[in-house]
Amino acid sequence: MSLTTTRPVRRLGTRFLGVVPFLVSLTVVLVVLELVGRTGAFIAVPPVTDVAARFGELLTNGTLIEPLRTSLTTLGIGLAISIGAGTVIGLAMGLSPTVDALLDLYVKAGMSAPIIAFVPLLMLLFGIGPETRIATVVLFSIWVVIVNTSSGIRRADPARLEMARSFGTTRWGVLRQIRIVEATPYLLEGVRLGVARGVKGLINGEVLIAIVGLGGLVKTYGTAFSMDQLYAVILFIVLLALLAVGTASAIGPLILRHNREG
Amino acid sequence: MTEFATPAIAIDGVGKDYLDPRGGPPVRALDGVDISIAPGEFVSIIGPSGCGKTTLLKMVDGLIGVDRGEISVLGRRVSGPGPERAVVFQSFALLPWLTVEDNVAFGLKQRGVAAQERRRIAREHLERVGLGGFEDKHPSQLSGGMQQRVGLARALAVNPSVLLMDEPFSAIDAQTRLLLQSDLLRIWADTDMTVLFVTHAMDEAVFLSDRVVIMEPRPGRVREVLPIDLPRPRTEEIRSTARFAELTSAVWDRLRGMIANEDAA
Repeated sequence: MSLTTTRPVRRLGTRFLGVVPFLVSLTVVLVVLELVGRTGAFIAVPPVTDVAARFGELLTNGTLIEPLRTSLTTLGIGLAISIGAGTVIGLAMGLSPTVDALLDLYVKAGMSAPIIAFVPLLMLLFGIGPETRIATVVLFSIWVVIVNTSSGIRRADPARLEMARSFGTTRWGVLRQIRIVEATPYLLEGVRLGVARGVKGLINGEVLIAIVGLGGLVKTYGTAFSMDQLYAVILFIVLLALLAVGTASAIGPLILRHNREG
Repeated sequence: MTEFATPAIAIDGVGKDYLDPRGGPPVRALDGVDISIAPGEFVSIIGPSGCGKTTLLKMVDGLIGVDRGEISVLGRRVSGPGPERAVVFQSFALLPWLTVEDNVAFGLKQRGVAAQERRRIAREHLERVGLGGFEDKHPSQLSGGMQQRVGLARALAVNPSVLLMDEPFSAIDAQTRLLLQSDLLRIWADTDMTVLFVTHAMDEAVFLSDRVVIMEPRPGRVREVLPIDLPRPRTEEIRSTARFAELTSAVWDRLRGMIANEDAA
C-alpha cells in the first residue's frame, strides 16, 4: 500500500534531484573557467564569456554558412552510405552464418582500428576532394551499424521463428514481420551511434585532409591559437552532433514504425 | 479403432538421430515409431522427458525432417508445414508487438487473406475461445491462460484438419489448465478436427483423449497405446469417477518404471 503511493512521488523526486548535481557541476566549471580565463594566465583557457560572445558572432556573422554547407553535405552522403550499406551487410551477416564467418573479423577490426591512420591511404585512393572526406565518415560510422544490425537480427526468438515457419511464412516474410521488428531497438541504436561516430569522422577528415568545413574552421582557429573562437566552433560541432543524433533518434521510429509493446 | 481407409495422421517406422555435439556417435532420438490416427480422433502422446514426443509432433508439422520412415497427413507425405495443419506452441509464440486480433490473424495473413476478411475471422475465433472483446489488447496485458487461448484461436483461424498441440498448457497454473482442457474439448466437439496432443500430465491425457500413446526414452519408442473408454461429452464430473482414476493410474503404472530407471541412471 505505502509502496504504491510513495513510488510516483519518489520517482519524480529522483528525476529532479538527478538534474541538480549536473547543474551544480556545470555552474562550478563555468565559474572556475571564467575566473581562470580572466586572469589571462593560460592561453588555453579564455574567459567563458568571450567564448560565448564568439559563439554568438559565429552564428550571426555568416562565417558558418559555407563551412556548414560543406560539412553537412559530406556528413549526409557519408551517413547515407554507412546506414544503407551497413544495414545490408548487417542483415546478411545476421541471416547467414557463412557471411558472418567471412566478414566478422574485418568488422571487428574496423570497430577497433584507429581509422584516422587510414586517412593518408584514402587520400592516395581518392585525392583530396570530397570523396576522401566522405570515405572517412563512412569508415568511422559503418562498423557500428553493421554490428548492431547483425546482432539485432540474430536475437529473434526461435519459438516465434518456428511459429512463423509453421504458418507458412516466407523467408522474406519472416525477415520483415519478425526479425526486423525484434531487431528495431538495435537498429536504432546502431544508427544513433553511427551518426555520432560519423560526425567525429567528418571533423577528423576536414582537419586532416583539406581545410574546409567546420573542421577547417577548427584548424584555422587552432593554428592561430585563437582559443575563444576555437572553443566556439567546438561547441557548435558538439551541439550539431547532438542535434544529428537527436534527429536520427526521432526519424528512426518513424521509418521502423512498430510499436513493440503497444 | 484399428484400420481406417486413410488415416488423418500416419506415422510409419519413423526414426530420428541427433548428432552428439561432443562428437560421439549419433543419438537415436526416435526409433521405429508407428502410430496411426483416424480422422476426428483425439490422441495424446505422453512420456518422460527425452522420449522425443515434441520432436515427433514437430515432424508431423514438417518443422523437423524424418531420418527414417515416413509421415503422412490425410494421405499426403509430409515434407514441410502445410495449410491443413496448425500448431499450438508450448511457449505460446505470440508476437508481443501485435494486438490480440492481429496475432490471431497471423496465419491468415501468411495465406494472403484480405484484411477485412482476416479481421472478421479473427474476431469469430476470439469469441470461440472466450476472448471476445480482447481484440485490441496486447499479449502482455493477458494472463498466461488467456495468451494460450490466443494461441489456440490463431491455430483454429486457419481452419486446420489436424491440430498439433505441443504441451500447450504446461506453462499454465493448475486451475486455469482444467478450464482450458474443458474448453478445448467443447471446441473440438464442434469440429471434425484430428488432434495430436503432447503432454506430460497424466490426468490431462486421460481427460482429453480417445487414446493415449505412452512413449519410452532412449531411443524414443511407443511403449503402449491405451484406449480411453470414458464416455463423451466429458465434463468436469468425469474427473471424480472411478474409471478416470483407474485409467490415470494405468498410465502412471507404465510411466513409473521409466521414471524410476531415469532417476537411477
